[in-house]
Amino acid sequence: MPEISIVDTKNIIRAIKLKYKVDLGSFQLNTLRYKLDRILSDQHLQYPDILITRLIEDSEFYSELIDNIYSSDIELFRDPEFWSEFSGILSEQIIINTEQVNFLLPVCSNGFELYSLMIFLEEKAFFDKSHITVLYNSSTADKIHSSNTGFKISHLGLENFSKLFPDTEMEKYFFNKGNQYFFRKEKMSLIKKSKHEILTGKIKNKYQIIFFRDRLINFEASTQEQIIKKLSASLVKNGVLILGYRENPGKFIRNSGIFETIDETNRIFRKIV
Amino acid sequence: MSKIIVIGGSAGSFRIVSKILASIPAKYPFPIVVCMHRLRNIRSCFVETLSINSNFRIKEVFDKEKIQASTAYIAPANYHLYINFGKSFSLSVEPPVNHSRPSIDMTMETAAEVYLDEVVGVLLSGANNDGARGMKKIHENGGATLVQDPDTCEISTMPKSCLQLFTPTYVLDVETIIEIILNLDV
Repeated sequence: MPEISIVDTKNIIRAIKLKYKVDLGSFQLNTLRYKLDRILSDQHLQYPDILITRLIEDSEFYSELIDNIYSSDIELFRDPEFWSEFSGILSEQIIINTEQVNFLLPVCSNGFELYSLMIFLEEKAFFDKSHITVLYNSSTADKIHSSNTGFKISHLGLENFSKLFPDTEMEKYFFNKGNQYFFRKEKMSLIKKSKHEILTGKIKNKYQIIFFRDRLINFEASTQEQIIKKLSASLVKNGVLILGYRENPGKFIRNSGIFETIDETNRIFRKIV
Repeated sequence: MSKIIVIGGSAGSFRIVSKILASIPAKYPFPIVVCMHRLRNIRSCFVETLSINSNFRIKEVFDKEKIQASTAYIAPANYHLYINFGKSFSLSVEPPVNHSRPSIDMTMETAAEVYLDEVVGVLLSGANNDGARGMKKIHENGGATLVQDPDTCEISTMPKSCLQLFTPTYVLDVETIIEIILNLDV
C-alpha cells in the first residue's frame, strides 16, 4: 500500500495551495497519491509530514515536485495500433487540400510523444508540411531540447519503433550514449516550444491537430471538461483533437454539437463549428 | 454496499479467467474487475477472446467510467487501473510497478479502500509477486481472499508470493474458486 493515504494527499494539496497558490485538487486523486508516494520513496522521506515541510521550506524542491506531477511514463510510439492507423486517417480525413498542418502538443512531459510524432511525420513524408508547437511546464523543455540530456528508451519503445518501421534503423533518429538513446536534435529547431500551464495558461494560436493522448486521465472529470473546452477553442474549424484510446471525451465533445467523431476507437474528433 | 470481485493474474491465467467468465451467468449481480498482465503494445482482441464463451457482459475500462453491477471490467493494456471513491475507475500511465502496467496491487489496494470488507480478491497463476500486497490489503480491510492453489498453477510464483505475505481466506483449485464466486450472497 502506498505510504501516503488519501488524507495525506489532501493535506499536501492544501499545504501547496496555501504556500504557492497552486491548486492540485484538479488532479485525479489516486494518480496524484501514487505519484507523491513515488516521490516520497525516491527522496527517502519517511513520512508525508516531512514531505510537506520540505515543500514549504524549499521552493526548488517544490518546482521539481510539480515537474514530477506533470510527468508521465509514455513510451516511444505508445499504442502502436494507433500509429499504424493514423497515417491513413491523416492523409484521407485530416489533411485534405492542405499544404501546411499545425500540430499542438500540450502538457508535453517526457519527449517521447513528440519524438514519435516527428519520426512518424518524417517517415510518412509529412514532416516538411508540418509545424509543431509543444507546450511544456518548467524544466521539461530543457530536458527534451538540450543536446546534453537524453532519455533511456524502454524495450517497449524500441519494440514499437521496430514494429512500425521495420526497414528503418534506430540510428537514423537516435544516437546511443552509454545506456541512453539521445534524439538527434537537428530537427528540433523546427519545433516551436513554450512554457505553459494547461489549467491557467492561455493558448494563443489556433491549430489543425491537437495531440493530447493520455494527458486527460491525470485530471478529475470536471477539470477534464474545462481542458477540453480550452483545447476546443484552440482548434481551427475542421481541426482535430486526438485523445488516448481509453480516455473519455466527455459531454462537451459528445453533446455540444461542436465535434463529430472521425474515429471512435482511436479517439479522433473533428471540430465542425 | 455491493460486493465486488477483483481478479488478478499473469502468465498462465488467461485460460482460467476465460473459464471463470464463461461460468458467470448474464444476470450475476456483482461487478467483476479483471486485472491481468498482458502485452502492453497490443490492445485488440483480448476482450473479444474472453467474450467468446461468456454470456456475461465483458468490457474494457474507459477512464472515469462508473462501476456497474453485472459487468466484467478488464484493465486495458498499458494503463494502471484505480478504483475511486464514488465507485468509478480511473486510468494512469505511471511507471510500471513490479515491471507491470496494469499493476494488480494498485487495482486491489484501491478496491480495498473503497469497498472495504465487500471485496473478494482472487489471485491466479503468474510469474512475479504483483498482487500479493493488494490481496493483503483486501484481507486487512476484512475482504475475502481466494488464492489459486500453487499446485494447480501453470506458474506458481504469484500465489506463492501472496502466501508468504499472509494467510488468505482460502487456497483453492479453479473449480472451487468458481463455485464460491457463483454462490456469493447479495
